[in-house]
Amino acid sequence: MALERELETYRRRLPELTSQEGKFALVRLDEFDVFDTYGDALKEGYRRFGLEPFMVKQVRQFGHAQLITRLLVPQPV
Amino acid sequence: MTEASGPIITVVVCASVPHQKALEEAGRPVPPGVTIQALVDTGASGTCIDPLVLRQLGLERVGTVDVVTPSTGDGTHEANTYDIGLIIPPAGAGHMPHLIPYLLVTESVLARNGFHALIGRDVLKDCVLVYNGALGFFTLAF
Repeated sequence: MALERELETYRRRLPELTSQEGKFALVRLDEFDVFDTYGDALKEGYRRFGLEPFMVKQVRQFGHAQLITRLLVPQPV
Repeated sequence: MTEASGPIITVVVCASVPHQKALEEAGRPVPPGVTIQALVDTGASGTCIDPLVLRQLGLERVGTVDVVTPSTGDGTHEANTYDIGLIIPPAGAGHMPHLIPYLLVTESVLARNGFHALIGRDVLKDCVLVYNGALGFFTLAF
């Protein structure tokens, strides 16, 4: 599935991002940058990579998760 | 609004503005927005969209997020995230639509509930929601 390599890159780099908690990582293959906001990362992603797949993911070290107080069916990722 | 349906609004889901710009620069068509029913859900920290809508727009995931629901117990499950634009149309003449040029949303199967999105607190943080259960109406101002 798309972004597998980007997820690997993110997980590999995560331990060095302790001071970047809550910011947004922009990842394309092994290319990696961190931005203050989702919008900044997203716009830079489209500027650099156009329609090529890239990943934008919030930097979370400490198990912070999105909360949905409704039963949902997990989808394959 | 009925007790069964809850606070449901009509919204338009589309490609985000940065995505639309990238499509235009590549000479590719911009998919038309998809009009859906969405439940206003103060229990959702982030907005969720049904995969049927995301597929209709031809979107690819931009990442993943850990999700906690009543069924995950002490753990989480990982869900795909997508980049969308969102429009909440005006309620009537003289009102302005609420335009969100880019929004990171979580993929969740919702269609079986009669709506295709949960409008979470990431959107509601910029709105005023008044839920009058006694009289059976709600207002969402932005």
